[in-house]
Amino acid sequence: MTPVTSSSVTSTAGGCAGAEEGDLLDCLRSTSTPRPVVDECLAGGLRAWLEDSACAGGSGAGGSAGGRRPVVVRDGMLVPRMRAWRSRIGVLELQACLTRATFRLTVTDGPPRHPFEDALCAISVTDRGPVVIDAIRRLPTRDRAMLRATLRAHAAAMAAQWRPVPHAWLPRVGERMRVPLAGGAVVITSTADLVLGRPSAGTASVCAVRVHDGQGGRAGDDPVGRTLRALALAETLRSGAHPLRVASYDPSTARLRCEDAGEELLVEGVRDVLRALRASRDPGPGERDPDESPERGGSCHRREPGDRQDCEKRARDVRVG
Amino acid sequence: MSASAEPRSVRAGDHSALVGSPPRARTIAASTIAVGLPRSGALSDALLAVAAPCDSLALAVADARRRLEDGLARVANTGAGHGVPASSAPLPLLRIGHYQVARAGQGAPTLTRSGAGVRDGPGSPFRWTSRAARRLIGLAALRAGLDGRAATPADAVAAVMADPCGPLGVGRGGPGAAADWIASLAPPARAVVAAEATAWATRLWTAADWGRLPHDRLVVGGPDRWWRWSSPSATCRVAVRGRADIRVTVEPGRDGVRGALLLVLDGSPGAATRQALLLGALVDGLCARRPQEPAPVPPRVIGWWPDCGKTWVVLVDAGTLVATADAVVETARALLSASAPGGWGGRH
Repeated sequence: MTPVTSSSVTSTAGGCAGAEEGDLLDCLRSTSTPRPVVDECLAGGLRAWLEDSACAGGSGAGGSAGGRRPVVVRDGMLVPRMRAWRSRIGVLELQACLTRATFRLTVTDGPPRHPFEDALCAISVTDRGPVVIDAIRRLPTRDRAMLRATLRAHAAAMAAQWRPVPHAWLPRVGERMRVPLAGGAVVITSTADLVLGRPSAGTASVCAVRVHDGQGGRAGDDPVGRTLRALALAETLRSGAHPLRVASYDPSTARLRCEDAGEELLVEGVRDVLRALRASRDPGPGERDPDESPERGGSCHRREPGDRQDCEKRARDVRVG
Repeated sequence: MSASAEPRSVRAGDHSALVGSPPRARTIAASTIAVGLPRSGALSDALLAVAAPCDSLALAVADARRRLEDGLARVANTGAGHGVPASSAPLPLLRIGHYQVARAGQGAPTLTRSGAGVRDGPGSPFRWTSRAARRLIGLAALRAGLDGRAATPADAVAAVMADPCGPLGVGRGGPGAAADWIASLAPPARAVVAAEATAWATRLWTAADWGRLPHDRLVVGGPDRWWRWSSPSATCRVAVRGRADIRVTVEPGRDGVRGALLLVLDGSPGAATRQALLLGALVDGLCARRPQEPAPVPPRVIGWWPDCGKTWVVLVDAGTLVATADAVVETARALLSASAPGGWGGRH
């Protein structure tokens, strides 16, 4: 995995060279290098690898077909259980929700004049609107004031760095990705706050942006990187073509981390999913992971280059069948 | 029973009534399509594919109609103990669409969202949301785009939302109508609704090679079709909804029959998705003006799930139509058997 661009607006690293305020969109769509040709077998190979692993771990993955709740891997992490978000919704989650709404308003309609009120108004017409608004109403005054101040700061950063996306770039906000594996026993999910570009016609063309909400990380973990990998993987699996770039934007630090979605990034994304599946199976000591077994040959990407043909054949089979 | 544009005073069904309904094993085959890049080519091929003519389709529709009527009569009569309305009150209406059939087949534990919109919980009223309105606005935008009145999906959505009751809009206004709701939105809410509709329309806009599809036989959106059933001895009426996002109308040819329905669906396919997909084809057949006329049933139905990138093609034949009719009866049974006295979701 090679982060081609990992920069804030003031950085000159990689493809974001020369990025100035308001130019983050240009950074995403930079054409300084030719767009890579999509290997049509890659998505099938990755899917086959994941399907093998999901089917092999039958104990943890119950599957919808068997009437059991599927194992959900969201953004490369195992979701332990259904969140009771209707009854418990914390300040951090509210902040993330409002920040996302502000970002979506900024890139579609321009910066909001009154960030807090406009974000609430925007959320009110979504599925979760009543729950979020009710949770904000119940907040202590101090927390609400803090939320308002934070959102104002985030909105100011977004207004300085983002502009409404040209319609010709086909902007899509709130793209949900939900890829079932092993007959629905495992579900990989991710969400992009902004997707740009026409679907691939042979070259990588889609860019996906996720607003980082500062949650979901452990010490020593790289939650942003994992989210980017998951985003790239989910888009690849559902569309059959890997995206051009995936990016994470953190309004609190005003940094955009942008990576080219190449094969290495996707393979790391698969490994994240496999780790999550292992966690779901809760292996005993000494239990051997079938995904790592060389004789299973789960993936061509971890094997010798000569085995690539086998993987491509399997990918072809998957696509046809 | 009769076919009509839309039943009056219809309220979304009580989805909680589907609790615990067992899935039934039926055999309807669905095939995926071989995809390459761009994927729009594969979906267009599927919409344009020729199917072998099925001479017995009219008989199959008649058989499905008979099974449906017999089954509903059986189910509705056995439900007589559940909240029989007073003689002067109108019979409650059970509305069955794609969503109800799919969820009943899965034995869904809870149902809080209908195919048309969001309900905050069992018994809570329908309310418009950005997600509920996106299909309506998105289809209107796609029509505008295909007519050449907008260059991009975002432009088309902006045109639709600027005059929701107008010629490019989402339909007539009125209390509870989408057009009135859109017109009443404050700017930030309006922006979110437009953005979500744009995302939906862009998916469909880029999903097919529209230049290859025959414009004279292409219907984008269009009103839902309803087949209604009632009986003097029954305790309820039933309305079965057939919906299609894209309809390539049926055209017999020398080499076979062309025509297809395309449904754009959320999430990923489930256990009873095949039956649910075929509901549109079944209703098309049932809505034939005269029973002796061969019903213009599309030879295939395509389900497309952009969230997961899956596409299913289900062929319409005698067996699948009958299985779908059985699924509708089972759904009605599940809804009725789980409805407590006074707990009718489909009541006026």
